[in-house]
Amino acid sequence: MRRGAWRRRARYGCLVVAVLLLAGAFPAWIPAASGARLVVETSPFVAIGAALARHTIGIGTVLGLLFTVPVLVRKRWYCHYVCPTGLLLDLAGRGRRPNAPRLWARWPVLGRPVALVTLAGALAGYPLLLWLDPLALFASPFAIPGDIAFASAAWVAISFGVIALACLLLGNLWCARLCPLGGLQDLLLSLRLLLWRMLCRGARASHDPLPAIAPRRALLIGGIGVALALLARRVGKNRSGTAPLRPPGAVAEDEFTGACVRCGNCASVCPTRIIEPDLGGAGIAGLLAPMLRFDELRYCREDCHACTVACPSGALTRLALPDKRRYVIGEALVDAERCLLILGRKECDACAQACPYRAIEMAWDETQYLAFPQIDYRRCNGCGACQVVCPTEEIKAIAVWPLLDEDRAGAAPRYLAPRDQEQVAGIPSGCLGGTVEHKA
Amino acid sequence: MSDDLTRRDLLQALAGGTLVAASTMLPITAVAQQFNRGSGRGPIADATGSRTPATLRGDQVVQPERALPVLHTTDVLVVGGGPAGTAAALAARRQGVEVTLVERYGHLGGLATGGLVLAIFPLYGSDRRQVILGIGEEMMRRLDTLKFGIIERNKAPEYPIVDAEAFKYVLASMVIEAGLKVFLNCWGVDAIIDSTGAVRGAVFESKSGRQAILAKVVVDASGDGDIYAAAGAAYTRVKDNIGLVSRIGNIDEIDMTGGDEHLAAASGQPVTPRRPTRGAPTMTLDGKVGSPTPAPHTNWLNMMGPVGDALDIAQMTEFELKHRIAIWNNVERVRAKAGNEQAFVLETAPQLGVRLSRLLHGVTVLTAEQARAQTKFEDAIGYSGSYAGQPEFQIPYRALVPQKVENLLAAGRCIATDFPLADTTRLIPVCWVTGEAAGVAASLCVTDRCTPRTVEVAKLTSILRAQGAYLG
Repeated sequence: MRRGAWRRRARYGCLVVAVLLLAGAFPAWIPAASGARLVVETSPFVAIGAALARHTIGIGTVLGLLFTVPVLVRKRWYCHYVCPTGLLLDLAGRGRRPNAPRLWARWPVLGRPVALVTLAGALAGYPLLLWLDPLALFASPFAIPGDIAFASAAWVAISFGVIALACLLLGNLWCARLCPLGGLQDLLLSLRLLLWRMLCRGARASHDPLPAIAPRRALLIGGIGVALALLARRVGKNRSGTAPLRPPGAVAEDEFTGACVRCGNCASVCPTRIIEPDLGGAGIAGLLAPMLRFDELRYCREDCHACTVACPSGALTRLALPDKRRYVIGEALVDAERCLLILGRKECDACAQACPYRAIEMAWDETQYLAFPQIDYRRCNGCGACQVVCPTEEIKAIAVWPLLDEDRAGAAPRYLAPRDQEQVAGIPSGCLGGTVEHKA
Repeated sequence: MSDDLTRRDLLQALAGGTLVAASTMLPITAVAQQFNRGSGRGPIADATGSRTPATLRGDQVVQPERALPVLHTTDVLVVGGGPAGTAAALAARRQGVEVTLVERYGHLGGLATGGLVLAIFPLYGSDRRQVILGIGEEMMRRLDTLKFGIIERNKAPEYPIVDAEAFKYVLASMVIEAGLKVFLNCWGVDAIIDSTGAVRGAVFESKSGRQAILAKVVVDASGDGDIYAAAGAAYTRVKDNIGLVSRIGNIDEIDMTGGDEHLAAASGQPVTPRRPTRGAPTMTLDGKVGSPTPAPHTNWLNMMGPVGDALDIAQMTEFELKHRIAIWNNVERVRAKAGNEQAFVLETAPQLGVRLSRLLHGVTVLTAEQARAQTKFEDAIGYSGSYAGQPEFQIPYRALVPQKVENLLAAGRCIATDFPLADTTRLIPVCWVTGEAAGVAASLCVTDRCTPRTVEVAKLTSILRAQGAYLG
């Protein structure tokens, strides 16, 4: 009974802390971007999956691994003491009649193979189902902006909402059977026991529980994971010039859709609300992954790097502000058939005026005898300021396009040279002034 | 000339005058009254050439010192008959002083007519209210009454487009009705300075030779600041794009929506733009060039042009020749497109599209920074309209007053602003604003016996308001 009371207190405490961090309640101590990142980083699933995929161990990984240690001792320790998602779903499931039959009572614990497939995929650079992490699901509703856009509402409905509804109707199906973080905990405990038995041969063998997944089956599932990961990366690689624009810091497109956990942190901390979920327009692999949309004077501000700070999984590399300015989101390209200046309709230099990096100037082409907006690609990072101020309608005469692979040595992210960055140092921040709303 | 007048001439003139007066062609009557000098054909008795030609001494060309004939003496002399100069002259004349307007070309309106800069832009504030009124608005109201005179009036944020010939007609009528003394085809070449260093008039070159016009105060609306430069005022020389606008006839078949988008919209398919390539775009000239004017079947086609020095006559000549060739070649390419076979070059602008050449060092130098910060001035004489995300901003009177030289005011594109802001203050309606204010201030110098530097600002702004100007 005593342990039950402690568990309850710990979980409610974690829930409150998680909500406060995600809502950015202590901006002075923990900025919203860092707070949101911390919440998701406590998940061992995210920490291990991201570390395997990215081949790096950061502070976030260490935090996740700290939360992993008790899991190796106590069965599903994270679920019982930490997980805010589990608490909410438990509460949702409570509404149901206690003795109603459970449809899923005989289902296997699907979370285990899901976790295994994901970690195997992570070894191949593509953690397949990392986005099913419960902490990422918990964070995603915070991405809904004040003015609820349909797309953002869908983001939440598809992820967190569906699961909560299922639990309301069917009892806590998620925690008991589906959650990959739960499955991972089972696998890790099982692995620890296996190692224990190998080290202390024969000891207490009769008391050993059954392994979470039979070893031969585990190998098969792992193999499938690696194969699927390689396939997904191959699909991603063929997207040169057609993938959606990703937020700054995004890793190569073939890794990005796997590494992203769909927590929505990047969208919720973006002051200009240019990050939207991809609703499948760019293929099933990128479903609900963040993409950029420049619109109504909203562009990627030169004085902001919040999304790169908020990303818990390394899908967006954490970048200091000067480095974020050097990260090339895409390239601005001019459509000669729409540009008012080129067509001789209006003496327009709105794009050059707006460019925070002074990458655009009106040039004169002597052979064609026309003036056109010339873009200096040593300075343009694809922030989209030109696109949003362009007075052309619907389809803009100047717009940011994804880079072609030949322009960046394969699919790797491209950064502007520091020398050219120095040239644009001292830029006044917020070139479009008060037209951009900061999230409080 | 009066000794040439015979009785027959007098009778003819009287009969003709009665006929004209009976008709409603008031401007023509006024022209006849102002300029009728008889019509005796044949040799002129007192025709003499220059008695002091420039002489070659060694390898130096020297102009001997000589006295210049004084063509005319006036209260206010306005040099330049463009948007700023015409507004200045009309505004000053309304205050009851004698005003003389001198223009280098054979028509009034400057770049708005001769330069075919037909767009009256920027006219509106960011809330789409018209923030430039006064004499400019009066000119547009006259254009409203003319068929094919002006389009897109009061349709903010679309801005009005005028017809150059209609505008020339309006300006000619207005200066004659106002009783302005006008000299066309006179190029202001020098300032006249008195012993105290104050400007007392200007020297002009014309078919009549080099002549002086004396005045109590001079408004430099030459666009290039030719007079203040000659008078020794401090200024900044700047280079900017220099283009040439043209009008293309028989081009009403243009599908302004763009062919591919039109087709896609008809079939209900969303339009997917093609990925453009980097670098200089290839102009397709597929018939979508230019934009409509009040005249039917006529588009005007802007050319931004290369960067050049508007005070370098060799470069200006090169531009003018090459620009005209390029316009002809472009229209040949437009004609190659099916449906445009009948398109032709209606005209190339008589005047090169000079944007900026000199910027005055004024008592106040208005900066883009101040405009962005929405700085309020106690001596504000009007507003510039909103332009490319920059909201409407005030223009101070002291940006028209030179730092050093006395008895001189600047108006139009050459006033005291920094280079980034000059990109806005050089535009047609803003020139109306600075022109009108300079005209009223000049008239106050005459009536109140003061200099531009000591003009009573409260009086100036109250007169501007009474003339219908918008001062916020």
